[in-house]
Amino acid sequence: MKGTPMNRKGICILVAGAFAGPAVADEPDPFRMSGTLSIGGLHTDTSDTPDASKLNEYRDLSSGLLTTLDVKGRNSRYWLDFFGENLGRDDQYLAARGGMYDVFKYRLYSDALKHNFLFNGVTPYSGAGTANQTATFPSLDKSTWNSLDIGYKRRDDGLMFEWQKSDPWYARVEANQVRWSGSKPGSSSQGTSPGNGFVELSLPVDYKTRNASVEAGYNTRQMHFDVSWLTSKFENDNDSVAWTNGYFGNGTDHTYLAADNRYQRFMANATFRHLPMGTTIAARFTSDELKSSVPLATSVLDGTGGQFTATNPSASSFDGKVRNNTFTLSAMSSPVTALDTHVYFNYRKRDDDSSVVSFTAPDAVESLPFSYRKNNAGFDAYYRLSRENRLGGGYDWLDTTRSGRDDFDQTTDRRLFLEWRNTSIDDLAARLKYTRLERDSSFLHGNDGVSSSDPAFLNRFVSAFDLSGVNQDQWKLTLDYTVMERLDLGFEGIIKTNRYTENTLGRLKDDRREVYLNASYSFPAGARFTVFGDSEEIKYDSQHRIIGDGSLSGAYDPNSPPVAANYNWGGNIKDRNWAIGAAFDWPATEKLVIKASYIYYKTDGLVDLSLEQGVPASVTQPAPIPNWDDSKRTSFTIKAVYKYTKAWSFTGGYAYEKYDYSDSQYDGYQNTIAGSSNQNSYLDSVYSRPHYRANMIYGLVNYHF
Amino acid sequence: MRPERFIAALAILGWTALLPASARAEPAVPVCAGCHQEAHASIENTLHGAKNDAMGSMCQACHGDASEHLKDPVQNKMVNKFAHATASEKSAVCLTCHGGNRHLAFWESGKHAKNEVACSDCHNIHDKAKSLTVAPFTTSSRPIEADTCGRCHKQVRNATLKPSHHPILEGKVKCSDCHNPHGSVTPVMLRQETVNQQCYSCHADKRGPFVFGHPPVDENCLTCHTPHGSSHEKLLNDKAPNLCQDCHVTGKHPTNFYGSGQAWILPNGATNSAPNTRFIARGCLNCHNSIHGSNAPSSRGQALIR
Repeated sequence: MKGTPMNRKGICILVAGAFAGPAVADEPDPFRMSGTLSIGGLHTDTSDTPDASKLNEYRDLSSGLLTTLDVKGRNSRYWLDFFGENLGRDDQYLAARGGMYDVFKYRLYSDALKHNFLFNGVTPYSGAGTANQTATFPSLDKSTWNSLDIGYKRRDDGLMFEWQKSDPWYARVEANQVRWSGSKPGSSSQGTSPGNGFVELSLPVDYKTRNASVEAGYNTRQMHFDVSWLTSKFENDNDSVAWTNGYFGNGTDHTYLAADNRYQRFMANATFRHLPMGTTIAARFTSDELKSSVPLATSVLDGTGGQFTATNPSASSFDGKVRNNTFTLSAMSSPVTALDTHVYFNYRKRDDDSSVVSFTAPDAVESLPFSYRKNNAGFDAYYRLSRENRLGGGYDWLDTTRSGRDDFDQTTDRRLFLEWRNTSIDDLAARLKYTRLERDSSFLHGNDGVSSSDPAFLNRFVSAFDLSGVNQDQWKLTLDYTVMERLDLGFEGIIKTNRYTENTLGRLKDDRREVYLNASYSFPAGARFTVFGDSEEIKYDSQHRIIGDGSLSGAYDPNSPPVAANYNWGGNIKDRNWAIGAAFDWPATEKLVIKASYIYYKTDGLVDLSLEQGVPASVTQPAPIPNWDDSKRTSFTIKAVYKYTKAWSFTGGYAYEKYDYSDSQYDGYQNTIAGSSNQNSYLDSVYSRPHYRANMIYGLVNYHF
Repeated sequence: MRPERFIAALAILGWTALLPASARAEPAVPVCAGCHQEAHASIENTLHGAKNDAMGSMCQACHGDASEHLKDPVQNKMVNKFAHATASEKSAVCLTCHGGNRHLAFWESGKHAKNEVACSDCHNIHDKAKSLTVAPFTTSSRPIEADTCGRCHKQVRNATLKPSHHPILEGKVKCSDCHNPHGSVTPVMLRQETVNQQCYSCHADKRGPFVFGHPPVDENCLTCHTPHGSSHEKLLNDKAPNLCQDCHVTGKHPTNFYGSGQAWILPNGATNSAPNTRFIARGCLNCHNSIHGSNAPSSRGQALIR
């Protein structure tokens, strides 16, 4: 596993912070220290795994040293917690927090993470993962390629200090820096059509985000008020990636990356409590601004001979500027005994004041800023009919107007919920909730096109599901049952259905059903056992239209009878997920505790494609997709902790993980797809071999003080 | 391990050994500990315990005035304020001291207060045994916040076990990074005002503004992504091309069906010499890689392909 140099400043700050507490140890009120220091090792065997990146997706499970330090210090004035683990590993974590009671508190931390995407991949490019990736195409012999790992390291170093001495006034400052370095998966078409082949790229990730905020407030049991200001600066060392495009004559093409941006936010919060009728009023206002300035490219690689075409931008740069203003006001009351009410209003406004830029070539294109305004109001109320029964209900209204979308300019959502909570059976708590959402949308293409052979006519039937009219029904039932003194059962079930009322093409319906069951038993001798099972099914139904001959009558009308060239087809997607798991915790003797956990998680996707009734038999039937992110993950871990003395204990453990994966987009995967006239595709293996099998053993010596 | 890391680790680890002996002295024991030793031991090393004194002022802060009980513990039993108390009554005890905490500014507005969740449902005041959780192996020994939240939000906890997930069970992302369990005026108790602002607080590279945006992306990340776990890479609700085709049903290639007849291996088991580049691997994203927005010029940017 690769590492990056440790930030010496970060370490110094943490060490200094850790010593801030002990500095007071000589005072009459002793500073009591307690904690645990653990040191040991981990051995991982993945010998038959070609790409262990999925195993190590967010974890560093490579063989090596394991360390943990957990220290607490206390006296009646000061406190300190220090925690460190995985020192020197890619997922190292260090944190110190402490302070002086009622005077100040602080926190310092450094949290590292490695996000791995690919080990042992290959690429025809030199300089993969950098801003300049070169190759000479065609390059169909992958024995000449370079090896490739893709992943980035993310490290978040930060601090917080809060001054509480002037209670009820307080002040707080926070700052952190998040550094990302490495690479992430990317790709690009070679020409402007996927028919010209594509290449997978390893895009450089050299980001830095620096955040700082200051907050001051007044806080009592009767009221709270605070104002804060936050600034966040994102910097990317690379504006774009230059890469060799084999289709465009081995010319240098560019993929553009996220540009630097700067974000600022002002926020004010207020709460007033103990008002008449048990009322609490809360309010929040925020105003933020996001800016980015991007120089515009004046040419693009645009020919199989490697020639460039001038884009003729209307300005030399794009000045991005988005402002958000939000306001929330809510009131909670208990006007009569057993009745709790809540009324609220939310306002959200996004103004995209970015400059509008246009290009005349290779295509005449103009940018389109996107803005919206949302007004949301609602109320809910809960009434306790008796000690065992509580009824709740509420209504929510959301009106959104938009500019910058050509399909919808307004939507109105109305949501109603009813809830019943019951505890009339001893040791059984039940909660049933029903929610109904109805959305009306103002669709702007309802009169497009003059006839069914006009291409624009099809727009009448195309409405994106994110904003189209929908009826949503959701049922949720939760049960918690203590069957007997030591046996608890839990149940959670959900049924959620969306029906898109105005859609002829696109998504028509989606549906989710999930049932979760768990049981836990505690043995009188102290052992505990828990088991759970979960079953989930998610379905998406959609309809689409192939238009092979636009000149035929009814070509752009999905309601017209199908012909061999023009017809509708449907997609029915099912994701079925199952999980079972069990864990036990067994104090075998006074000194020995054994813990184990087992999980089996299976995902099973299926895509069923079908042609509409009446399509001529000459049309090729679509083939269903039986493997659609099918996976099986088995995790087993067992560990024993032996308490040798009060000061020393030993931990030993074994873990096994196996991940199997099958998917129609990756089964039979190759690194090249040959095409004519330099229209080859080149793939680097990312996501193609996520399966792994790992055996891990580890041991730790723990010193308690 | 790099030398500077090792030195830093040693410096930190060695710190405890250098502590003066006086730093390990025992504190004054509250009078309550005479009988309630176990309860005392459970808070001794917590913030509550550190502020306790010989009179057990911190014990009495929650359990009430013990002066009569101390005079005759047998005759004057303490009233157990928590045995049959409602959630709001239990929380009221905590809020006596913590009501002035900035984190609790919106406690009354939050869903937890509304749904009768008490402070003690999540916080173990007397450090009782944690509930047993089923979890895969990690090298982290930090308490995983999702194990606490998952005691009620069971399906959400289960979703974190899916193949695509935030590093929640790995200890790198906490529920409270996005949600404020202590109350919020936003839906689902988000820390930020909108879903997108919440996501952008970590994913700063996605916030733009881009020359060419993707309006559904600019309005709601959850149109395409599900935050707690998915069977599809990148926490997608559904896979490309299906997900994209649910909106993009006009034009050229978005209207075609992509089935196993376009895959690397044909339905009859034979190898496909010409798999469809719009279907295999990442589907639409093979070309439209800049799906969150692009700064490329002209149609290259508008089509989100550069």
